[in-house]
Amino acid sequence: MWHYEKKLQYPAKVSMPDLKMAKNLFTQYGGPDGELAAGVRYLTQRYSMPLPLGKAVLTDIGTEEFAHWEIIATLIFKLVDGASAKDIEKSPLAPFFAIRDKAIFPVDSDGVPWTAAYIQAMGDPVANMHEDMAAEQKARTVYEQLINMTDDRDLIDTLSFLREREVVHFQRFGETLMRVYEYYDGGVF
Amino acid sequence: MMLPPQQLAALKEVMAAEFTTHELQLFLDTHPDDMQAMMAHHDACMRTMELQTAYSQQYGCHALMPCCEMGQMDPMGQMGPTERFSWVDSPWPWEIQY
Repeated sequence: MWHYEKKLQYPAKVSMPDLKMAKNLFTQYGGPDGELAAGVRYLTQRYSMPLPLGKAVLTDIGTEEFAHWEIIATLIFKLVDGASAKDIEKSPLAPFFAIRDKAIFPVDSDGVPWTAAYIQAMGDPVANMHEDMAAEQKARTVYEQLINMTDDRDLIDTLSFLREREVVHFQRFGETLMRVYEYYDGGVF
Repeated sequence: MMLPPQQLAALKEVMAAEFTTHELQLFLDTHPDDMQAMMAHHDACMRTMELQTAYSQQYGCHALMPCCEMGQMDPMGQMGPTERFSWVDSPWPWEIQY
């Protein structure tokens, strides 16, 4: 089970509304390497993870990803806050707005809806850990691309925090992979 | 929405303390025998609980998470419910100006 707490993991700040960046950020909300994909991927993989340590890592990182999903939604919410229909009509967000106004729906930055095809869960924890490490690296590089597309210092600060988390998660999954290898070397198969 | 500066500072302290606890938890997941990390986790965990309790006492039982909110004692000495369930009124994280 999960509990909700009325706070973000890290303060989500933007200096000014920016409809272009709002559109770009959608990839981390509902895109292939985004936070929703990460959370669903890790929590789904728990059930075929034989190591207790690995179950803890997948649970705790998976849970953190949903806190990041909320931070991305908050950033998008703030980037479009105050924009009039006229502002949006002239922006790259216009096709989103036509469908669902300012609702924050899990699509990528091109408007492609989120799909479970972005993720994988195998019975083999070696394959899963490699998938997870790759996912963290892809998310890290997406955050670097997003940081390079904006001059907003506050937005960069929040995105930098999220980028750092990808690095830490990659490290923890790498350590878990080593333990998975040790487990198989012990003759469990 | 703008929180009063003092409340925002207190909220950020709770957020930072809980993040510290979480980060140490992730480290302990892959290093469950690290005594030094366990002590740091214990300290961070205690600090988070203290700050959360202080925040909820100051800014409302439901300011951070669901709680067992009770109102005033009635003349018979029984605790009654509050007039309104404050969970619905305390600000949501995406609406706060950090």
